[in-house]
Amino acid sequence: MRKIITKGINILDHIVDSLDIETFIVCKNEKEGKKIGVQLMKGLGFKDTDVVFIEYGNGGARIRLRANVFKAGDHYKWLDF
Amino acid sequence: MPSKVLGILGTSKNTGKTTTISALLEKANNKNLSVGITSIGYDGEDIDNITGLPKPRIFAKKGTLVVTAKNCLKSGVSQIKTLKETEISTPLGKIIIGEVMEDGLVIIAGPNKGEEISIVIDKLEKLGNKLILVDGAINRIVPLMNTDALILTTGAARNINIDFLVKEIQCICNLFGLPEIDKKDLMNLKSIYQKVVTLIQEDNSKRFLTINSLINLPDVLKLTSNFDDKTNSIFIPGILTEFALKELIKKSKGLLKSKSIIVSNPANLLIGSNPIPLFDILFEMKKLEIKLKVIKTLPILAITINPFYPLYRYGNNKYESAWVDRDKLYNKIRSIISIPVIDIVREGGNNLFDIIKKEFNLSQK
Amino acid sequence: MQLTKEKKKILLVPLDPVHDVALKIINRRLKDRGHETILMPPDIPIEEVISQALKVKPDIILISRTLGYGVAELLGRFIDLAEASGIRSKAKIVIGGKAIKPELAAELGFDAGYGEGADFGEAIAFVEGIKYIPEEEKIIKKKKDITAGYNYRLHHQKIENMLNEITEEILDWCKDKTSSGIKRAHLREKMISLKAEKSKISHYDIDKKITEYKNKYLENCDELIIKYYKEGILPKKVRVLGKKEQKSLENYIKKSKEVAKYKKIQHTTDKPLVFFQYGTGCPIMDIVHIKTGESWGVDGVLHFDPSWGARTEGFLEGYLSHEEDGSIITVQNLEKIKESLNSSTLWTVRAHRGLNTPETVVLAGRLGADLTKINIVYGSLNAGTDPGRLTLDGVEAIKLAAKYNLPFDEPTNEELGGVPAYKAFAGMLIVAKLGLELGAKPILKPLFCYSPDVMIMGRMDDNYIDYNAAKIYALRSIIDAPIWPGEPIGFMTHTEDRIQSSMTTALHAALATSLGVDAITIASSDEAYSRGSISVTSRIDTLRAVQETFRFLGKAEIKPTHKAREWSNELVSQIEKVLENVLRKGSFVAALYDGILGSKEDGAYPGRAGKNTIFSK
Repeated sequence: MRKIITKGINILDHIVDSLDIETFIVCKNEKEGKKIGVQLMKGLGFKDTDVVFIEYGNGGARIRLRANVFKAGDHYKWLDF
Repeated sequence: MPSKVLGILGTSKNTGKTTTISALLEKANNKNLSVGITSIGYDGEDIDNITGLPKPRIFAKKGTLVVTAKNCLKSGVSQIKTLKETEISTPLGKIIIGEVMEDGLVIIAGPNKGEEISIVIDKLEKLGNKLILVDGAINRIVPLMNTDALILTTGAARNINIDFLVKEIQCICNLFGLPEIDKKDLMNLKSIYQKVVTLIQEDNSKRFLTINSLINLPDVLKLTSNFDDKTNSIFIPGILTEFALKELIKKSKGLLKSKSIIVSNPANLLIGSNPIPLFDILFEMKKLEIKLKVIKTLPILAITINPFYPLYRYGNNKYESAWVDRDKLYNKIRSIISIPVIDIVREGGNNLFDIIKKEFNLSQK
Repeated sequence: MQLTKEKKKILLVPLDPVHDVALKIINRRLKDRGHETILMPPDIPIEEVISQALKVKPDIILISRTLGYGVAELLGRFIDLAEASGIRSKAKIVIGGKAIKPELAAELGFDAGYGEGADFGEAIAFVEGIKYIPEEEKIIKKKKDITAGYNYRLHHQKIENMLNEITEEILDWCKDKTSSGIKRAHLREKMISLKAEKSKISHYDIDKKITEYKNKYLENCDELIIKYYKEGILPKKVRVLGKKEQKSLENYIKKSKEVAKYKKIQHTTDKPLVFFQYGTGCPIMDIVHIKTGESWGVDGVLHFDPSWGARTEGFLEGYLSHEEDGSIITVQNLEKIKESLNSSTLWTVRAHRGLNTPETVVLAGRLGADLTKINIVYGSLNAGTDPGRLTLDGVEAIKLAAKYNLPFDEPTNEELGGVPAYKAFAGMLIVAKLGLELGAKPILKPLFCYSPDVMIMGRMDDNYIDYNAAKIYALRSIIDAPIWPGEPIGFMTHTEDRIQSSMTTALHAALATSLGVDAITIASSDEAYSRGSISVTSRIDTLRAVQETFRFLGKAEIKPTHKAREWSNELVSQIEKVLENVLRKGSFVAALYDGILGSKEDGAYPGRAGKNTIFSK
């Protein structure tokens, strides 16, 4: 998974569970929108991602993408902060 | 031996009060003098509350007594041991008197009322201080009337116009050089308990008004309606504004010639006036032979001038450091004012300390 | 508005050249409290202010001025004038305005200074000479009893009579029967009591006794549970929390409690209380959700446990984490959660379906829960538990709820399966009456949902208001009991659209408030997101939205159309008919099997878990 290291600490370790990105993507249809969304998350370095919501209209899609950082049952790095 | 109290009076923020006090402290510490410092407000922050520019803080040596507020103890850099806690409240908590345990930067905070200053000075004296420094706050004057002598600090932060500064200094020096009333009149005034504007007639009878200050036209008219050719002197215990003074002179129609106007101290006239027009009124009064006296005044021992001023940049809404021509400033002032003018930054505190030592007759421990 | 005990005279001075809103607001509040105030016009020269103050002789002077270059000198000059004229020693002088800080006030010589962040209450407290308590600290949240003030009287004579008959039959039916669930519940009680005993019996003897009980307990458990105790084999997707994790959790709980600031989410009404359901599977994550919820104002939380746990006879033990939704019920897990809760947060542990319902109530009662959940009808028609078994266990659970003074809510979730509301309500009323007979305190839980029946009948084609209001009106006309719509309100109206999801929750909360219900359970904005668990932010989304709802609505009301009353009357007569049918059947359990309270056509199926597990005492 992506790391953002500052002073030896991975900043992403501070995220309690997930990081959502909400934006509006220019695309042809919903299918393409989803594809672009997933590529966006991959491009940002996130592996465990999902398209939570997508709604197409007027040449683009309103989209919410989720990158899972810690899931229930994981060993949470933020627990010791 | 009673201690001597020195007030540092500034004409505005950023005139160099803190620099002056720090220089004096250093000298006093070198001479092993027992020194105490208080303020009539608050000083010690790193950044100016308004401009956001860095401010010098006061460096105190071990053994110095400092007056500060309870909330400042937590953020002070130097270790201070509380000696006495007073009942005086400020927005920063109760005022306490402490001893500096190790050399370092301190935050000074003091009571902001004149009567409370006297209490604190008294306590410092009892704790053994020979020299007590009272740091001014911004442009406040009145509480400093409880000291024995003043250092006036001014500079470009007050006004970047050198002519203005010169005139203002002249006016202030004039005011502080006003004659004190003689013992006889003092006895007379002492019997006035009411602390109201009083007209003292030739036969020593007194006419009392209901007001204690002359601020505006109605106030002046109240006075002039009671004023006649038998009036010898007018005592104004509270404020006398430049406006009221001007109106009084106008409306008294020559009755004031050779008569006296008595104010409590120079501050009470200074605070209600703009110095430049006031200077002119004082001049006119001399011409009209109207005597202006004070009950008590203080000597201004020296003047320090700071060429620095905060320049406001409208573009980015921030303040920047700026300076006027230092030499031009000093030379102009020195050429007109007879009181010693000191450049603390260039000369250090030696000269200044010597002046104070002489005036106060300070000896080493 | 409280009147002050000591009237003061206050001079308010706006020195800015423009109108000063803040000072005018303070003026109004001071006047309302009974003080004498004089508000000067703006931008007056300071000498004039002094002149006015000399005339008026105020106790306090409140100056307001925006900071700027030269302003400090102006204010310093003002204080000097005040001192020279004698005002300083007679009045307190306060400065307020943008960028004012206490340090600046001290530097200038004022008695107090208030900047932009300061509350008006601070200035007023200073005026009155009393200690200022910020709103947040004033909120000492106290636990509320949802059932307080209700007398449970039945207004509908006919329905009352029918309910009496039905419940009599149920209790009679249960008299000579027992189940392993009931046996385990009693054993659990004994084990917990023993452990809590600081007594005359030695540790050795206590341990011996407990082992004895444990063995008897296991005799009544399923393979899955026995395997764990005897061989240490955990069910799939379950793991034990390591010692390090446990320690970290403890630290987390401690730190959370230190920094916690509990928000009050309601505005000017006390009701409804706001609950949410937690159950990520991991007790640590659950506690994070709970503590975060408390900071954003939640009043109570409900424990959501995995469905496989309900289908299994017996409970596991230890600090167990579950990889899927639902947090496993063990004594240790529940203890940790209880430990993390703020003293004012209500806690529900659910006992409404499955084979462990009476034992769950024991755990809930002994481990400090405030509420539980029991609904025999829903549990057996829509949650997979055998009707006979659940009726028997359910009655025991209700008895235990009464014993431990745990009010229980009755969810009518069978509506979501397709059962029409009136049938679900009939079932709910029967269970409520049972509860009353056994000395317990039932809480009605109709759903505010877009259910299959509603869709078919077109009841919410126009709005979501009328039919939900009708439900409340109908229930209120039958019985005086607390009502707590959930779980959650707006069920089936949420989508993955975060805004839409939060809005529908907020709007249903507005309706609930308007109807005066006692509590609501709200969804997170991730409610409709099925491919992952609920994020912490999504919880905050809806808590915030509901808080705004309360602010918006205040004590105002939402007006349903005439349809609400019409449907309410309809519901009541339909409920009557169902109860008649139950009576005609002659047996509650048989009525359940036969679909009278929810049929196969409705989408309700009598559960199979625990079939044929009842035996005579």
